[in-house]
Amino acid sequence: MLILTRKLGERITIGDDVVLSILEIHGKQVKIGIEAPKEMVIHREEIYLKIQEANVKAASPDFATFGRLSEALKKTPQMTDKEEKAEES
Amino acid sequence: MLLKGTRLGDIEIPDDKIITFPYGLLGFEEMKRYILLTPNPSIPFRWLQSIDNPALAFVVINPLIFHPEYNMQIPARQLAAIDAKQASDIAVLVIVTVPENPEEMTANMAGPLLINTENRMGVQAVLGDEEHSTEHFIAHELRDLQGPHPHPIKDTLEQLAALY
Repeated sequence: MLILTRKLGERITIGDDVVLSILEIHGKQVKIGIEAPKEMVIHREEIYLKIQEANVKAASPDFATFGRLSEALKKTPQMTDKEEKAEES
Repeated sequence: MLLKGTRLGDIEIPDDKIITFPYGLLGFEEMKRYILLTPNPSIPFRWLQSIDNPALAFVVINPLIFHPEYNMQIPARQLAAIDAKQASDIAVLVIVTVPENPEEMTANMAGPLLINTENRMGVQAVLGDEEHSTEHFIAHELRDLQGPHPHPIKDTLEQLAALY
């Protein structure tokens, strides 16, 4: 990993079209400005990872599962396993 | 085009119904082409089938059906990714996780799929705020809606979906 030390207001350029600017520093928090081409996808890593994880969990259900969805909509409200466990404890 | 080996069997894909996600979905960046199917018109769920990997599919739903006030601050660069000119061109879907007990199904409200109905390009948005969860329980909310209720962007969805 390339490590650079920067002061408030200083910038880093990456390639021809990406510029990072250090805008604010408050204790352990740093505000970074990013200039990049519109088509470049930029995310906060923790949110990105959470959504990625949710996608993997949701991917490729059995088609039988899809069938069970209509049953779930018809059913009268029931306690979920999680709620039952919560009540037991 | 005949797509073989999906969980729904072999399906005929009309070329004009293909939806392209130029960046794929998070974690599935290589799979860029999808088709939206309606296996059961009597329930509000749709089946988002990957064309590039027949084994890959997602259950999706229009979040406005159960959460009409779903309010997204979509970053402009994510709209630019699908070349969207106006909000009315965009159809929104969220991915549903269906565990063994469908009662515990959840919707990913933090990573909605935005589809430009004009050019059939899609992107998975990343909402960087605290108010949208990746695991939003929806079974109760959907049951509360049973009976006739308006589907605000139903027409848009029908336009996107292919016959199955």
